Amino acid sequence: MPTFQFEGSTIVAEDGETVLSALVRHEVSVDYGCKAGACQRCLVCTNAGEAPKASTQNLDDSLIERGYFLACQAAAQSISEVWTPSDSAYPSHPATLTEREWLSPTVIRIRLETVGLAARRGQCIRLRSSCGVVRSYSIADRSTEGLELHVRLIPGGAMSEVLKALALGSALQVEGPFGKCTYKGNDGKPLLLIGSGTGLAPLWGVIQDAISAGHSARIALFHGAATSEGLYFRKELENLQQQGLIHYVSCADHVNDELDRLGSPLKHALSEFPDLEGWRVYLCGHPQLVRAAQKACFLAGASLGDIHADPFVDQSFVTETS
Amino acid sequence: MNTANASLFEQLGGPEAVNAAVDKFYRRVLADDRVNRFFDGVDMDRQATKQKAFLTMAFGGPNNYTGLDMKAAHAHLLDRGMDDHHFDAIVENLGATLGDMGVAEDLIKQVAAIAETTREAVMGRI
Repeated sequence: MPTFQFEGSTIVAEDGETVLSALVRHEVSVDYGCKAGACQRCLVCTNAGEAPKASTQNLDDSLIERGYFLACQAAAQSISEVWTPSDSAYPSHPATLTEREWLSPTVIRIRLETVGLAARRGQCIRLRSSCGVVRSYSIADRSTEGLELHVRLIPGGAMSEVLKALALGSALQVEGPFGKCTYKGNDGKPLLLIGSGTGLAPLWGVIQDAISAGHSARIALFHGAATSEGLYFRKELENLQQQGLIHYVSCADHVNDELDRLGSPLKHALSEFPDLEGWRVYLCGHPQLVRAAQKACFLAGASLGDIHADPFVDQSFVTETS
Repeated sequence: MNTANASLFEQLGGPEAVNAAVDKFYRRVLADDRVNRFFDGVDMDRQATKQKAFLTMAFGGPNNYTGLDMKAAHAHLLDRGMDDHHFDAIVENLGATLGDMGVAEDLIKQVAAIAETTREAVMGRI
């Protein structure tokens, strides 16, 4: 009879049984709904590449790459190991701070050298300092040996104060990756990217991947900040706009640069592109903006499966001391 | 799950029909001022999953919904003033969604009848 490992115990399945059915029969506490591959509530993990294709249909690429599958759609005999997905179960990797640069008075770019981290531009990682402070950041850029993060400096902020002062060469820990804001390939869909503050980081990551892939539809970026000074990376973005690679709109609540538009990036995005049917949408930044934008873009015609959002997690939620 | 329901699910197009309907149905609901306030501030990713599970059930597909699940999931909405008229509005949106998708009238009636079986639980009357 087929068997598989589940979080330390051996589950003996019956012939022809699904992973979900075997887990339920063994009274394992596992979430599930339709048992038909539709509701996606029974999402579990296995080793990457092990899940049968039928059990990953309609799942996001970034989930499939990390071994996610639907327990109700996988035959128990096709799987050797299963676990419940949990952010805290992400592996930890050593990292070294190699570069730091001010992008604006309130944003720094840091580069980290990491070992063993398989992550894509636009995904998030959790950064852990030597004194146990933990914060989530999105990956703005990625090379074979390192990754680049944009860090907003918050006066008195436990992590940003550390990153501002930490000597180059110091050690940190990186956990992850997680998050869904990754480039999904050249599928011919126009891309709308809306972000506020350092929510630009994953969007910048997606834009770079899209440009390298020669994305065949338009790429429109709306970046917002409280003030014009907060709109960092302006030169890089204007440069891409001049080359005709992206459409870039900068927005601020308090404008003191004539190039910037007054108000929210969401408002300007929707007034320029009121019909989003067939678009792929990326949203990142302040949770209030991201939630409002998810709903507004969906009502404007974007499909739920084509809206990729990573709201900033409430900092109090991820603060840990250990 | 009885065989009549299984065949309804197949006639509607199975999981693919659920995927096709979820956007259309949820967009109608969010645009409907009679009921959209109940969806303010919800997590859209999680909501999409719930809508899929609901549609699978209403389409006669395999499911393990129980009356108590439905009751517990909607109790907080009763506190916010949900009543039978709101339930009617959701069923109406469901029918209109299927109409948009070109589903035959007799199948829409069967879906509405399955949705109707959850009314007492949703309204907390069981």
